[in-house]
Amino acid sequence: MLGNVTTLYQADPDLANASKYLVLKQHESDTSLLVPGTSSALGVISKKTGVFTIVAGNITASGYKEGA
Amino acid sequence: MGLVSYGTWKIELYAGECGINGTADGALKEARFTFPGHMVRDPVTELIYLAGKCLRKIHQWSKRINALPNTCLKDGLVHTGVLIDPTGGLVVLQKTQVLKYDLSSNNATLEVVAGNETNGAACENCTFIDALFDWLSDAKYILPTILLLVDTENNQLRLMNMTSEIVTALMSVGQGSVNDNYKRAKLLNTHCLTADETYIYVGELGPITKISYAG
Repeated sequence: MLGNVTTLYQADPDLANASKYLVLKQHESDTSLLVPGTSSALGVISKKTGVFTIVAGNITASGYKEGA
Repeated sequence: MGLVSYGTWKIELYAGECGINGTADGALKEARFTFPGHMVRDPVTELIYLAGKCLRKIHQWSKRINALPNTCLKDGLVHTGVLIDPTGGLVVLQKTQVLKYDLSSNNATLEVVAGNETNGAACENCTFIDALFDWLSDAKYILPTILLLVDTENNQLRLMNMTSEIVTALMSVGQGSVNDNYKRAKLLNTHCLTADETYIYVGELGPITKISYAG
């Protein structure tokens, strides 16, 4: 049964265009959403708090670089 | 195409080569990609399917990447999504069409399930044959026979009932506030989704919203 629509996470307005390319995937932990496509960063969003955390890359700097 | 290791979050080059576009098949780093789209991993076969100009199959163990037969689209068309069909095979999105591909046949072709190559506006309670879409960005089965579609240019979430073969609108968008009852809620530039047992999560231009749909 459908219910309410609520905002889980609101991107920084400066990143609005970048967030157009967000791709949501269920994270393996099932407590967060994996967001592989936020500009040049990989992030997770907590399903409980809506907090967005970058886990790899840099949201303002693109490039090619491997690493931890 | 990068490989992300969970836990350490280490990122390594997995396939293709940085800065070099193309469409070539081959072993991991010999393969070439151009704006690859959605991917899905079959947990049974451990194969990864990749949507793009062609549908491609990534063998995680043999490390080969190959286009599936009869899946390369003519110029101007691109696969915009791929997912595992609960009844077998793949469901494939192609901007304005929902297609199926039978993985058990050597002569499989992409079979049109709904929509056609012409984009069009959403309609309510359309048959699969009559339904029109305008850039299908993402999809997910929220029940074994109910496929939820992101119809981006129509700014609409749409439901395909695989049993009745009817397409309906999930919600009337754009008439209320951002946070509202689903009948009045406003969505903007919807383009991706995922879901768990309680919520549908939708990516928009800026926010990520969640729609309660269970309980």
